[in-house]
Amino acid sequence: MSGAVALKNGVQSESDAELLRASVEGSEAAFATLMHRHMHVPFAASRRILGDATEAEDVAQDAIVRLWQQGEDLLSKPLNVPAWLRRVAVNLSIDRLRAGKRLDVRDDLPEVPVAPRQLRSLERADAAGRLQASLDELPDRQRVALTLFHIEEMSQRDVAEAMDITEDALESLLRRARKNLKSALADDWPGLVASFSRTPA
Amino acid sequence: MSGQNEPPKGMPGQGPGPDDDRVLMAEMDGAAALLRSSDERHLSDDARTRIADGVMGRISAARLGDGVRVPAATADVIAFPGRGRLNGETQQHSQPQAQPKGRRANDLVSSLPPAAMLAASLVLGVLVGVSTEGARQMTSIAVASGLMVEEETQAFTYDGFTLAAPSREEFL
Repeated sequence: MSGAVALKNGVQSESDAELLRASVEGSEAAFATLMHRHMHVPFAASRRILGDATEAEDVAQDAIVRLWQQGEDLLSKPLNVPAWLRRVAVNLSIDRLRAGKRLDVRDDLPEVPVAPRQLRSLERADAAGRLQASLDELPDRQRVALTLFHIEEMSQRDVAEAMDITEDALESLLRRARKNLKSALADDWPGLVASFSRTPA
Repeated sequence: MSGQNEPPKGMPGQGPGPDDDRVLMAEMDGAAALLRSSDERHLSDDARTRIADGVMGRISAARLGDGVRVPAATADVIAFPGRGRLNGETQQHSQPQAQPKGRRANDLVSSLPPAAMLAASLVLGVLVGVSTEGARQMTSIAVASGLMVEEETQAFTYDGFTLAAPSREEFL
C-alpha cells in the first residue's frame, strides 16, 4: 500500500476521524493515508527520547499498528490522532529506556556538553536543527527529562516516575539540563528565543 | 507547555534562581514549540517507506492471525522443512533457503487461533504437493465451511464425515 493508492482512492482530504472509521471498516487506503499523514509525530517524539533514529522507526511502527488494532475502540469518543500517537510513542520509548536501564548512568559531570567549535559546524542549520542538535548532545538523563517535561508536556510527577527518580531530583536535573542547553547554544540562544515567538502555535 | 499566566509547572513556590531559571523555563517552552513544529522535516523519505512497509507487513500478519483472511502472497512463501513446498514450480527454492522460511512458518502457525490454524494446516499439512492456487482455493472453501482438520492423521471431518486427505497422486 502506498500514498499513491490512497490518492487514487480520493481519501487524502478526509478528516482523521473519517479515515479512522473507514480503516475500521476495512479500507487499507484510508489507513495508509492516516499513517502517512501522522507517522512523523511518533517518530519524532521517540527519536528525541531515545536519541536513535532506527529505534524510533520501530517505535513509530508499534504506535501506528496499535492505532490500527484499537481503531474501533478509539472511534467511540473524539480523538486527536497525532496526540494519541505521540503519547503512545512516548510511553513505548520510556518502556524501552527502562527495559534497557539506559537512564542509570549518572550524568552530573558535564556542565557544558557541547563545545562552541562543534556548534560552528551547525551554523547553516536552521534554528530548529541547531536546537535539536544541541538537545541530542546533552547527557541521556538530561535530554530525556527536558524532552518529557517541556516537549511532551508531561507532569513533573509523571516524568519523575518514568525516570524512576524523585521530583526533587527531577527539578535539579531539569535546571541543569536547561542551563546546559543554553550554554551549548551560546551566542545562538538569543536569536533562537526571538525565533520562538514566530513559531506557529 | 506551561501556561503563560501561571507559575511554571514543576517549580512551585520557587523564586528566580541565580541563572533565572524561571525565564529559562519559559524560553524552553518556546523551544519545545519550535521543535514540535519541525517534526515532519526530520523524517526522511526512506524512513517513511520503512515505517510504512513495516506497519503494513505487521497488519497483514495480524489479519492472518485473526483468521480474517489469508493473503494470497502468504501461501506463496510458506514452506515446511522436509515436506516440500506448496508449488512444485518453486521447489528449488525450498532446498537450503527454505529452512528459515519454514521455521518462520512453524512459529507463525503455532501462534495462530483456530480458524487460521485450520487454514494453515490445510495448506501446510493436508494439501502439501498441491498447486498453490489449488491449496488456496480449498483453504478458502474450508474456512468458509467450518471444516476441522487433524493434521497428525492427515484427515479432516466435516458435518460428521471423516475424510482422509487425498494423496498427491489421488489429487492430481
